[in-house]
Amino acid sequence: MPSISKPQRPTGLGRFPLVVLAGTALAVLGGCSGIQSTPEYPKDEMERQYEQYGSLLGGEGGFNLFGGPRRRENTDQGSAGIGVNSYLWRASLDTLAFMPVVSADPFGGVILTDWYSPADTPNERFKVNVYILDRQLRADGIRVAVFRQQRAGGTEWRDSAVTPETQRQLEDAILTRARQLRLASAPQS
Amino acid sequence: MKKILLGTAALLGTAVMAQGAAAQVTVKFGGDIRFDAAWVDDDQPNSKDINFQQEVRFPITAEGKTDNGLTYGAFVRLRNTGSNHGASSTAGTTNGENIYAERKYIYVGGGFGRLEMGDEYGAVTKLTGFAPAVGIGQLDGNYENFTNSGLFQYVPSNYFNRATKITYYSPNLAGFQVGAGYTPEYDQTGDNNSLLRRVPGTSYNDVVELAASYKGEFGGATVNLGGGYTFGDEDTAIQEEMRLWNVSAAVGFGGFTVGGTYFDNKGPLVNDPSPNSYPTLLGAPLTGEQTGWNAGVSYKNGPIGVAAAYGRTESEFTGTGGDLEDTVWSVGAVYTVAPGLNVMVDGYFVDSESANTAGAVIPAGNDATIVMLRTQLLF
Repeated sequence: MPSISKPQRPTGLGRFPLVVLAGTALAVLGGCSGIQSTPEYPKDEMERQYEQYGSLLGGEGGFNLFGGPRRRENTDQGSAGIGVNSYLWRASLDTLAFMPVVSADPFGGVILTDWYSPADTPNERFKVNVYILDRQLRADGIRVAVFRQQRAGGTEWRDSAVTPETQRQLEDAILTRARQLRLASAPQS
Repeated sequence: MKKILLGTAALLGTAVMAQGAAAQVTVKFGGDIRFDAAWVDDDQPNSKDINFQQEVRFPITAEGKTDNGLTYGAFVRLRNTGSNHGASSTAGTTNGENIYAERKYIYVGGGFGRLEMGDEYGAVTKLTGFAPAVGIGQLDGNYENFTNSGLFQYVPSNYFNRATKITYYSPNLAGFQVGAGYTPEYDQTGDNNSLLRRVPGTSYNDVVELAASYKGEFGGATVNLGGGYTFGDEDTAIQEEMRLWNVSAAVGFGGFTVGGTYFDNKGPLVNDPSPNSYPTLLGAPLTGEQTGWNAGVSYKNGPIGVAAAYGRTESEFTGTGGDLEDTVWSVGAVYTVAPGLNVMVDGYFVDSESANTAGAVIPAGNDATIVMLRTQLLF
């Protein structure tokens, strides 16, 4: 049996920083070295059960109370049904939703908008062509062409230059949106 | 040129506005219902040969992801009381029918690692293992609910401790992963931790858990290694301080898994998350140290799984007869009839020297043979 009087050990206040320190040190170690770091964490017992035995409802077990991808989308996350990458396709449509679309061909991956005048610059109008070039979600899988015209008095419009920067920024906006869509429908980790 | 920029800025502004919020939270509700039938033959008085038992558990997960890949969410598992790992129902009452929130925590994860905050198992539980199991669980099965297996353990005694804690897990670095956790009060869950409600008892405080694991694959064989160390302060001077450690290993090849663990428990011997950590199970004093090991093999092929495991613990005992040995042999099988519908069977052979009848000073011991059938439904 231990004796009644004992030397004082460090208390929790002393220990907690130790734990945090150890954790941070490891995280930093993982961050700097060339070692591959994967954000994979131990799975809950219930998750493992679903993986092993499945669920009466099919899928990964349980049902969505709200949110989450619908089952159909879950199964064709790739590009089934359309000829180009579905994330790029949906991202392009989302990003250009404020402009009238004249033609959208999901098999060839071409979206052509009509002329559009921003409300605060009624003297100029834009037209955008988007080409989706790949079935994969990649940065070079999208090309945007922007056309700009300025009013030359009356109803006459005259072509005008567009900076390449504008096209690049639009491409970036579409890629960002595609990334968001991809993340939102990725399997939850 | 200035005009061009102005115009295109307006265009881009609209384009970005049109995108809306992309962060999405999903809430999932699932369930796991089991019906157990057990046949028991043991040395305990007033034992009944056959009994049924039912357990129901509902996991609820809410999870979202930010644009930059940060995962955040909460997990709550509701279950009925009366299980071996949850709050126990009192004999003779009907509170085994009450539903309570057994485990509940908030987590935040990403490239930096993962933080879990709440009433949840710690790093030792999640990064170390024991003899491989299928179906009901063999050594991890439910024999404790049907017979007295004394001080028998197959894991360190904090393995099913779900006291309120905070745990950090590193990302998986080339197969290696570490976890560290801090539990201010070993036996307090929910809002019992408030200082006003805290009851200093014969438990432990300022418990620190450290664990590490390695997962690798070599030419078709998988290797899982784990190790854990837990230390904490005792609440009163008559207790031993808490020092627990364990190591585990498992090797898998073509459906087969062979593995086992060794552990050393000093301090709480009884694997009971709801409190009496100080070993009062026996009338005579225990010096408070226990060592144990177990090993097993499992085989899984499609809807079928079979496993066998052997476990042994040795507990220090200063009374007549000296140290106490407890062993459990178990074999089991599972058959998945349809996705989410399983039938399982386990056989247990318990030989416990430490098992006692209430009030006795010298443990009488217990030999038990149990066959358990389980039907499980998962949705």
